[in-house]
Amino acid sequence: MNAENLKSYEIYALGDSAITIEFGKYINPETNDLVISRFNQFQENPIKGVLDLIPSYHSLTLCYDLNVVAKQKSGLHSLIDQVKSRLEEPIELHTHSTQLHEVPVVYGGKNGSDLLRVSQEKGIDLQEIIRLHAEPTYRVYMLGFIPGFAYLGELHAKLTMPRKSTPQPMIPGSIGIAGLQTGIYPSFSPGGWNIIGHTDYPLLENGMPILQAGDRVKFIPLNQL
Amino acid sequence: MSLIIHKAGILDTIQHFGVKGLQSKGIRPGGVMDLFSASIANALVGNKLNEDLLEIHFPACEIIFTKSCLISIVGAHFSAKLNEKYLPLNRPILIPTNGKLQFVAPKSGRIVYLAIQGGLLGQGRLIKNSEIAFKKKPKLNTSSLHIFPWSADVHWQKYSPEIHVIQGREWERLNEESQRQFCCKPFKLSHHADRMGYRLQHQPFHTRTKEEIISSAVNFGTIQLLPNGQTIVLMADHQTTGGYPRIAHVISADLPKLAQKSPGDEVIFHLTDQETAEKEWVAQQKHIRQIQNISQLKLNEFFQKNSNQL
Repeated sequence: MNAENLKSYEIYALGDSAITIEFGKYINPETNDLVISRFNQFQENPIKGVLDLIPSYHSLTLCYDLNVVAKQKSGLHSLIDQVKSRLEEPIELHTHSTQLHEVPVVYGGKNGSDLLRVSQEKGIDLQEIIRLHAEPTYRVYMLGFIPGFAYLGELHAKLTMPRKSTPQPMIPGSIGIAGLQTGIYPSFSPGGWNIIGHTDYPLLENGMPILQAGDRVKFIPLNQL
Repeated sequence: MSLIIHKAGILDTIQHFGVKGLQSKGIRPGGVMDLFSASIANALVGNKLNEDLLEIHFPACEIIFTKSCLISIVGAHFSAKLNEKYLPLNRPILIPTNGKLQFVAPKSGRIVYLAIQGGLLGQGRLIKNSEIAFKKKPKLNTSSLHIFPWSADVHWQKYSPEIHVIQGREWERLNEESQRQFCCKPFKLSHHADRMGYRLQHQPFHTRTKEEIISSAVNFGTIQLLPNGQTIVLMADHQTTGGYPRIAHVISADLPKLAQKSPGDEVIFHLTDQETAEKEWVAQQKHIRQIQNISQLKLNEFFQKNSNQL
């Protein structure tokens, strides 16, 4: 990633109590590295009044205390100035974490009930779907949606599926695909992704997620179909 | 030194004021839906403004107090009754030992807060027959109900349909006609309304582009445009990130008002800016702190004067 890209970002308001710094327009590992690096920077050296940080694929959101910010001389502008000067500070770029999770998967069957439909709609046989899904080493781009839900990318373009129009109940360990993403549901919840398999890999420990943004994930197929 | 949930309500909880600092792990902040009413409730009983308290919907729970204590009831008007006597909103109230509190009829609003001097222990849903301990031992002991002669001014709570919003990142995706409709047309709140989000009912909005957006953060008050052209306002239990266009955000000062809307109620959105949002918020917070200061003075005065009788 060149120096020009590193410097380009855009800041926009997410309502009156959060701002988002967008570091790029697309999903790619370099932009996400930058997000995670800046997240670490703001985490280690917090700005007064900032209560929470939400890193995502290509952006970092700062949730702030409106009481603190509104009291500063020029309100939000003061905060944005501080953020901008922080972003001028050089940082060591976070490259993907060395943490690799090998996640065993049972594809299809009762707990992977959308596999057949994906196969029919895509015109790809089951074995090939498993191969395409288990082949890459994925990156955890971000955690979001519900505690510990890890957004993994990128899925092979041949497996791109739209989300379901109506969310369905998910069980913990359900492995879904949607768009160019794959992910694992860590707990019972409604969800709209297409479920192709299931894992017993631990995802939460005392309510806290095991997978972290920047970690890598490799799926290990346990069954042949 | 506790209260007992004699009968459970549909959606009653012990609420905190939001967990901060864990959204990077996908853990939502949660917390009270109507920050204004909840803060006033705490102020009236001399608590810190963000003390844990009960958040009650209708049909509401029935509560028995095993020990006399100082409470306040602020927010929706559900016709609160203690042992057959109606209780007013927005005042400190001394509840006698074994007092039984009921909410018998919803008159206005959607959520009511019950604060107890010193706070409560525990978290989560209020389940039938569960016992919720007081954090601190009440200093008083009374066998009769006492309603204090002062009340908090809660004019911020007036249930007008006007809700102010700031444009969202994807506002420009709405076509001109939909932008016009969004800003002035009254919408009804749908029945799909819970602590996670309130859906609105309107003609489907149309966008200039169908291009998908990359998932990123959302906030309490974020108004998302769903694929079918309908909208949802994310509320206290919102998820941390989302992939739907964020067309606008309700300003913090108007979230309490929105939280109190019930299915079928009207809302009318008005665009405003950050500066106004900050001013409104500061004014509201100032008002809450004034009530807190006056309450503290008056409570101290009362308890000094009556320390012998209580």
